[in-house]
Amino acid sequence: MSDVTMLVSLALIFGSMLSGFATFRMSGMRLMPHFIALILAFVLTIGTFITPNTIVFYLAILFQILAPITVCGTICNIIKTQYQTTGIYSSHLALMGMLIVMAIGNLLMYI
Amino acid sequence: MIKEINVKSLRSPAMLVEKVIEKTDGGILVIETDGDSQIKEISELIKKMGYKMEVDGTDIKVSIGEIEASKSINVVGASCPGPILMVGEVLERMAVGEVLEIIAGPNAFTDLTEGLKSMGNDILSAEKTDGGNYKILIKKEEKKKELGVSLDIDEVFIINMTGTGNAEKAYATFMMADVAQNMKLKPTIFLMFDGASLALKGECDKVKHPAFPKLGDKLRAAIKSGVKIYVCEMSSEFRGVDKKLEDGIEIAGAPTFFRFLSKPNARPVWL
Repeated sequence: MSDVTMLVSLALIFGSMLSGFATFRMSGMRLMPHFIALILAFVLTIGTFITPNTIVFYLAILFQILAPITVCGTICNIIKTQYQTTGIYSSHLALMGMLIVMAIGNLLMYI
Repeated sequence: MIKEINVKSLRSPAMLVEKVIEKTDGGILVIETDGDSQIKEISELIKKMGYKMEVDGTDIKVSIGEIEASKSINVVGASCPGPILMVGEVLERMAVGEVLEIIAGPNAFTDLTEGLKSMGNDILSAEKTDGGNYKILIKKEEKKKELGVSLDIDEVFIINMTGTGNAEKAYATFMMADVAQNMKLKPTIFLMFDGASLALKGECDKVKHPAFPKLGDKLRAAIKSGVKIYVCEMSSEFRGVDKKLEDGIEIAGAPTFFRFLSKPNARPVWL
């Protein structure tokens, strides 16, 4: 595990949480699986700095990948039917896109 | 009890008013005057007699003792549009001339007084109670026609352009339609641009704010109560929702949009 990579991931998750709250309010509070995945990713990523346990590391990576995937159901529908409001969601989407690349990269470097 | 007298063109209206007040046990006395000089004379008399009064145009309303309301409703704690809908429902079952007592929280006070006035009712009194709430007494009246050059607005044209991507505006679309119906205004909803997403079957069911009913239920209730909902043909085709619309929603185009927008008796509401 690279501490620097994980720190960047943590920054991305924290940024995603803040931008996610705005989208969560806008869309009628309907992103529950995604919301939970993102919070768990945040907690587990912090956990990797506290404990050297590899299970925590793998779980953090798993949730860093799951969080962007769980947003698909909602965001695909919004992109398809309500694309004029996607500007509001774009900062959150950008951070989610970066997070999944970081998570996969981190995993490949570790293996 | 409400008593009405007309003192127009009387040279000393105070004399007549004094006699009437003396013979009135309690309730509200509405005095129709012909202008400032009569209002001034009568006001001085009423102040001297120690009664509460209110000037409304050329009318003076004098409160003599307690007024007995035919019905009473408490809407404390209900938030918009709850109070006006609850009061509207009770008023619907009351006869013209009957008095309704409303106990409302401070947030609903302006909404109720303004809304009920525009429905044609008469606000007899509105006072703050010790608990910080308001006690409003209204007399049910028939809706009067506006005089002069102003037109009688009896329709609202609600245009939604944001869809479920903005849940607050989506809820507002159907809540405004509810309130409009309650105020005897005919609502028509037009969904265009992103608003077309609201017409997609099942889409509104995905939105459920903890404080409100499911958006899908609001949409279906609106259709059931007779609210006409149109969806823009171009917008729905752009989003591929034209083939999977909620039952009761009709596809329409620019001519329908402009017909409603140019109706002199309708006001547009853009969301």
